[in-house]
Amino acid sequence: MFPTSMATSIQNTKMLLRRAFSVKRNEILARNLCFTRTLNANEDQDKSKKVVEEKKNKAELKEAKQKEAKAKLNMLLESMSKTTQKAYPSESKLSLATPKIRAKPAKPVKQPVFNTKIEPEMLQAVEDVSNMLSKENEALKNSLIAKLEDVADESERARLEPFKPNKQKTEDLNSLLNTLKVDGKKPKNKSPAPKLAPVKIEDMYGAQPSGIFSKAHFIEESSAVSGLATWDMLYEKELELAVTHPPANGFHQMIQWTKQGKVWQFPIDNEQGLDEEAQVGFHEHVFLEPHLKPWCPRRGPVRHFMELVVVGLSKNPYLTVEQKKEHINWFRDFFEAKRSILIDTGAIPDITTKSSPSLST
Amino acid sequence: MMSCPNLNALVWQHLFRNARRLPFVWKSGRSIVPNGNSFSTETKEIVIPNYIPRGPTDILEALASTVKRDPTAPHFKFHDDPYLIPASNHAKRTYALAQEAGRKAANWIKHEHAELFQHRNAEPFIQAFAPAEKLTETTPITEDLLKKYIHTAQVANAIHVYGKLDSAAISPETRQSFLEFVAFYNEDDQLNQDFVEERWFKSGMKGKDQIRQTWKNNGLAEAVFNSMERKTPEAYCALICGMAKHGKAVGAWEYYNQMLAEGFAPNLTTYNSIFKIAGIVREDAEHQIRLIDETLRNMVHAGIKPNVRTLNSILESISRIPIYRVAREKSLQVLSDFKSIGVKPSLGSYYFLLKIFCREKGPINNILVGIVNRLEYEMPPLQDLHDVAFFAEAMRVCNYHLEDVQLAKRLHDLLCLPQNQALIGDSYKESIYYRCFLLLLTRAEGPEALMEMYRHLVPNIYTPEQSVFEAVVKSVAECSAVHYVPELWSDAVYMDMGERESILEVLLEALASGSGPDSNTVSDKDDVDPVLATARAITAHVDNFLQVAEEKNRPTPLRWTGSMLGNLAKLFLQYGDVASANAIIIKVHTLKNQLSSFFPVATLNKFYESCIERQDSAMALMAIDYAVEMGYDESSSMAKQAREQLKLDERQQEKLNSILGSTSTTSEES
Repeated sequence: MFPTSMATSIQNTKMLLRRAFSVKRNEILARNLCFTRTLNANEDQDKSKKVVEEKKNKAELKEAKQKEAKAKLNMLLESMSKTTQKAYPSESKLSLATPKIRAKPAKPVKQPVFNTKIEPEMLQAVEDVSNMLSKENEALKNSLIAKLEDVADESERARLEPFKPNKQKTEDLNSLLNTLKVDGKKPKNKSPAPKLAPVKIEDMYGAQPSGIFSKAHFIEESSAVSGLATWDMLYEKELELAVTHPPANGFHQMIQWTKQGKVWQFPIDNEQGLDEEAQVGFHEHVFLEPHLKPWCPRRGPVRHFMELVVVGLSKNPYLTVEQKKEHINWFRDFFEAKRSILIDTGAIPDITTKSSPSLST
Repeated sequence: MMSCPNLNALVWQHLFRNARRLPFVWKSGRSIVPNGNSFSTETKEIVIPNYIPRGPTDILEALASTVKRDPTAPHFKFHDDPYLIPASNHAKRTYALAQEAGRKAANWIKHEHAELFQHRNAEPFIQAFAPAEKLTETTPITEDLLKKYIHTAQVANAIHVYGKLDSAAISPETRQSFLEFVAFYNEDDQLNQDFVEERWFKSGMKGKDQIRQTWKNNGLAEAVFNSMERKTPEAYCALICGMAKHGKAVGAWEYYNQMLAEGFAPNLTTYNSIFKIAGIVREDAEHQIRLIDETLRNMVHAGIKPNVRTLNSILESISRIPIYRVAREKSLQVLSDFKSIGVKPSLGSYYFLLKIFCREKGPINNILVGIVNRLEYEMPPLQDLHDVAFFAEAMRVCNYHLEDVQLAKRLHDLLCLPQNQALIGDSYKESIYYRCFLLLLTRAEGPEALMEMYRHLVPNIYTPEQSVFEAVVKSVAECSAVHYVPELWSDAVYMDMGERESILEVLLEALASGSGPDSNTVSDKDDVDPVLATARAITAHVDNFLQVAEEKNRPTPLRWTGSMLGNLAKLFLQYGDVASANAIIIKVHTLKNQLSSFFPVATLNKFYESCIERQDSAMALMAIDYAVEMGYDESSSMAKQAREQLKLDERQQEKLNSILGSTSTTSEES
């Protein structure tokens, strides 16, 4: 909106000049050039001021960058009650709406420049024109200047219209800006640009294969068996250690203990690790009488005693089958050693009547 | 810990993740209990899932995956006691290692007094708790014992037993196994694998980037090799692998050629070792690449299929090529080659790709973006020892190379997945990772986002180093986010950094960067603004520390500096705390030349103005005195102002004159 109003005002000036004096076109152009150069000079000066301010009021500067936000703020401003005024440090007075972009129109801070209404160069140009048309020299000059002043006033008003930069308003805006909490996102500290241009890799597999493997026939087993069994075992071990860290929770701790063989493994199994017992059947534990058969008399006190022993052993969960057999064999050897006494007491029949030493008939 | 209501569902989900179907799915969707009539038809529709064999730790892993890391709690390994929660890096290390030292002491007693631990109350007996059998003179030395030591990786014992054994009595298989064993460990005794903490803190010490020759020349491995009457290809392979692993490239290369000359075919592991040393035996990049190609052709010829470690070895070798373009092109070609035979890269491959593409002085390369895309899609399993180096390197690239905070966050999300957490490597890599992450955030993020992540990481997951902490404070100060500074100060004390001068400097700088009290918040008289309270706390803390140090006659690197006091005075003036500001100026006045930097003149002026306002001529004189002492230009105008605007009694008048007298003489002299 600013550039258009500005442009129209300049346009107006031009047309006015052309209508009034019908001067040669190129001269006007030259004058226009004059005018814009001054403008630029002013802007440059302003710019240097801004740089100084920039550091002080980053947040405000950022805010100022956005035209829309500015318009909104303006609306806010209008609706604000006068009572919310606050005294703020004078330094913030200048920080209002200072965009970076060069193409933007001048700011209210430049007001002093425009208060002179017409710049000296312009006045000089008017002088020159009126001198050229020397007839009604003075009258023309005056009317021309009056016109120019009108135009200057009007354009100034149009330009500053959305701002209404009277002191009151400026202060209000400042106070508003100061109370705003702007998310100050810092500019990245760019490292010095690298000498070489960035390289983008679209596809990692984009390169043309060299074709080394194009006609390869691999023996599948070769990759599985490397021939260095111990080496591979150790490598696996090292690999596992590389990801074994201090446990992060109780479950990890249990995993570690399980791997170290310190706790029983899941799934739960009461007979876990009893590998030797697993080879032996239940019946071998319980039915021990066959072990008596080869040597024990079929009846009599010895048989009676040994049956009691066997029943006792079959109920004992703490001995292995081997131990139970050993136990039985110990009695066999014992009775064998006491054979003479047994015969004498009549516990077993005499050796002469029965042939077998075990007396099993 | 486990109050998750969905626990069953989660475990269930995990256990059946790989199963083809959930068990007992009725296609008809009818009741599970079959009724009499439809029994025969229903049974046909039962889909019985395949049996999935489970390992002993599967159920535990399923349960563990349901527990997330709690950033508000200290690590599980520390005692659950408020007094024993460590915050600083030093404390973390000490506590963890102290705990392990206790475990070691117990272990030592178990070893030294094994006779005290003969009770066996577990059935079957738990071998891990048994005291290790000590090697004594009477121990029967057998080949089985050697095998056992090799299997349990007890290097010193195995070497001892091997020395005692009659060398003729050892079977060729055991001898080969022993050769591989010695070559793998290079005769160095290994840390007991139960000592997790020590390994966690130790492994970072050795720089793995540089290949250093650690191979023991003419050591046991070579002796075993030479003692073999018939040199088998396996023996050559073991020796070559060992030499390549421990940096004796030239030796490995010699034996490799010798092996080829004898007509033996190397195996896969040996080829991998040769790729690894290709960059050392061939200086020139061109020759090196030629050697790699040639060796690959040999493998193809022998029908040996390369695996992912082959790929990694080749990339490792390429990463040492100094010419950027050559390395880049060759690595991409190798990747395509290996893709054609179905070898997928592991994290280690990506690690070397980052080394190749993202060099310090090279152009910026975005290869990491593609890698992260791939990893988000599919995480390769652990296959190579270099896999654990990936995350630290990737975060380093994010920070120093790409400066891409979004990518860094994606990478961090990847690492945070429960199954990936172990891939961080060790304590050293972990600290590199988090250092780079936080440094990147300090540069790229606003204070809110930065502090959010900071609170998440610090102090339980990561304790920032001094420089990182300074960067955080500076980043906060740059945005004038003063309200975060009190929190940072308490963290600094908590992390044992409250006595470091540079930290105090930046903290005070940050405190003074604010615009003064916020009139909305401080309404109550008793309610002290946290920023002001922090400033007072810092002053008291430093004073106290200095006093204690002085009493105990302890040398301390901490001193008050002019800028620290300047920031404090500025802050106190901002908040209208005149008494504290006066105390600061008195400090300045007494310390004067002992201050290592000047008290800023702007603040001095401000203070002086406030003195005049308050008509506090004594303090004003002190300020003038300091200004004169330091030769500030403002001193004369200050003095003039004092004469005009302050009511000075006679003594003060005199003093002012004497101060000014000294300056006028000094200025005349100069």
